[in-house]
Amino acid sequence: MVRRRRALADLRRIRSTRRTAAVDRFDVFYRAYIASLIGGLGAIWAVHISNDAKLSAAATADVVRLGPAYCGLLLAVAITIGLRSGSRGGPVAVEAADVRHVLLAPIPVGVALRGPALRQLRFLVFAAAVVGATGGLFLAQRTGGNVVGWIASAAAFAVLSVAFAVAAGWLASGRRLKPALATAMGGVLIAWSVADLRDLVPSPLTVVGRLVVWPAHFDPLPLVAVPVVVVLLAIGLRQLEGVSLEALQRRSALIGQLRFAATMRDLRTVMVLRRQLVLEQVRRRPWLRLPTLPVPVVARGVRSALRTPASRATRMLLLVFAAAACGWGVWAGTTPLMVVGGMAGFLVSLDAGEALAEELDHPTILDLAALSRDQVLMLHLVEPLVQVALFAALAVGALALAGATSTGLSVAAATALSTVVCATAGSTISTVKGAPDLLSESSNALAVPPEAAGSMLLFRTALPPAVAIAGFLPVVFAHRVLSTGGDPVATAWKVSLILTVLVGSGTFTWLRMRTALQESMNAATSGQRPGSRT
Amino acid sequence: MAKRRRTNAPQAPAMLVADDLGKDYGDLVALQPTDLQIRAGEFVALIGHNGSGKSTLLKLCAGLLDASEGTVSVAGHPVGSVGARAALSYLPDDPVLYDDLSLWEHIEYLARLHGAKDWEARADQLLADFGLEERRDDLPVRFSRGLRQKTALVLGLVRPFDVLLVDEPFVGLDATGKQALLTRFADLHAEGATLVVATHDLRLLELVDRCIALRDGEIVHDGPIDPSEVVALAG
Repeated sequence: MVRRRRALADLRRIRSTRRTAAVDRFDVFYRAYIASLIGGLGAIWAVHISNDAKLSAAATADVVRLGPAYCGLLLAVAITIGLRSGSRGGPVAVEAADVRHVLLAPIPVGVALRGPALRQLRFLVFAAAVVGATGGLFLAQRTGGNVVGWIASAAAFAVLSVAFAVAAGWLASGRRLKPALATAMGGVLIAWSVADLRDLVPSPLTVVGRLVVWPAHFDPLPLVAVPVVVVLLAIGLRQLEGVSLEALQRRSALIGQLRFAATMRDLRTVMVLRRQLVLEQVRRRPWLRLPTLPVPVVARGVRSALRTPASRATRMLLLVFAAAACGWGVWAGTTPLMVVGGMAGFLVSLDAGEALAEELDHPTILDLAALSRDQVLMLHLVEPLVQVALFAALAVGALALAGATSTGLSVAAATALSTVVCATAGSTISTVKGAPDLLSESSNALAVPPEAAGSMLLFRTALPPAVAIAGFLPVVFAHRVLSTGGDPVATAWKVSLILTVLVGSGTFTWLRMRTALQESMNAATSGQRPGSRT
Repeated sequence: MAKRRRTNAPQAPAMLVADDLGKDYGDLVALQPTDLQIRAGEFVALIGHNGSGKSTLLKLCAGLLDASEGTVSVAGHPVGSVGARAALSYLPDDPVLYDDLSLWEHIEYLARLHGAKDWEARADQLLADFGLEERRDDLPVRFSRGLRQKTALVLGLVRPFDVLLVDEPFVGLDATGKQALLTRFADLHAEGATLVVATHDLRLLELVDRCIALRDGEIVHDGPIDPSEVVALAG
């Protein structure tokens, strides 16, 4: 057995040496240095540009009182994600060749998976620390306390959350927890945290959440979480021995493709592969059976929406509620939350635009249609708009139930309108543009100087989510005029209508003209007349 | 591999035992609950139409699929255990290889992982049999489908095993490769290895002791095969 383990260690060392030999270390360090510099400066710049007012003493006291419970809720969500991932064989992912050769060899599976699992934990902890530190920076700006303290405590909480989630995932995959049971366990944790938020039952996760408010109120109790998570990780690592090879094999094949699609910025492929990874399949029977609708393209979209699986619908609902909570946060003065809310709206809209994406996945059917491609795509906007609008109405209803004031609700309604239009526009642009065609000789990128190509690629990648995020501008402007004594509702509706008209008509026009524009661009780069054949 | 004595007499120990083994994906049944016993030294052909459950059965026996019901044991060890993995070599129909290892490095790695002794001579012989001597330092990722299949066969055969499960081994092989493989199967059988080969290639049926035919996830024939029955059973 020792010789076999040594063979495994030798091979991994050889492969690692070979991979790193092909990499210029100085170049990697330089890129890491530039990325951290730009990221750090970007975060500081974002804090300053939002220019949010400092919280009053009473508001800061509320943060200290309620913050831990909200952070506990976040931790419950993270653990639920870990449990669900584990119930599907995650979060560990290994190469397909490792499943076939290493995991079928007479070596304990736990030993073979230990290295990849620890590497994954290391990466996730690093990413969590970065995200947590960024959150801490924003917290420091609002509370006006010790910047380093807020950054460190938020980063520490994020690291602990990820560690708990990973441990939950390892335990769930090693014990082969059924997905339904994992969801139920996660649901209990979330419900417990929500009950704690309502001061009904204290949740132990809230204790961990107290870590975040350490700079304002020090409490040593959260330190207990450190040995607990270390023990859970150790047990989880041992439990990996029981992981299902079937699940690992399926994940290894999909994750390889997923990484490639993400590298190519192919969002649609990432979505499709992610659905396969979480075993999300459309319903065999639609939620409702509708009579035939007069417009076939719209009918096709509605039929697609009516086959949305329950898990996807639940995710969309949770994302919409998260977006509503972010809108509430922006209304309360934390402007950067518009980015999180906008991204949540963008993701909901991407899911709602499934029929449009399916149409583009099957271009032959589209090309054989009696309507032009652009007409079909325009008609496909109807269904996601209606679907996202329905979800947005639910979000506004949830805010009403949560006790929002009439002014707040009016601002929310105005923001909902622009968010629906902007999120649908952003997701439509993303889906229709697809992944950048880096290899196509007819790419218009060849017509621009190389110095501009990078900026164009960045613009193209960032534009769709930026359009979706812009949907939150009404609530930002409404909050600003509130402090100057203006009418927030009128401002919110004004900004919302301007955005709706501008973004809506812009997207509509782009869809209608894009083929003609593309032909003109191609003709200009190749020196031919538009429409002429070679 | 060390020479074994042929032990495919009825009293030979069971090397592969499936007890009420079944696999379904929700309402799609891939393999109906199946009882199966394959004794040491038997050479078994697994035949059936596409989608009849041959690959599912082999993957369940190799531990690559989780059984929905029932159990499998290999050489007396429960499937998936270290003992079962040491005793069983599985050759899938889709070769999966590392991108950054040469053919010889693959062989060395697999042989060491399985604790093989004196593997170099066996590897040289296998490379010669499959016409891969000149390719030993090449990366299999750049190979054609047929060469990748030959590589997978070499990797599956270079390690020690008691039971060999092979799924569609002739796909992509040229005539020389097919002949080399048939010869290798005959030699392994003569040495006493237990072989289970899923195939559509009828030439293999001349070599086997027993033929198991599957249809819609159910065993519809188990025993010697009459050539006239093959087309109806195997498609």
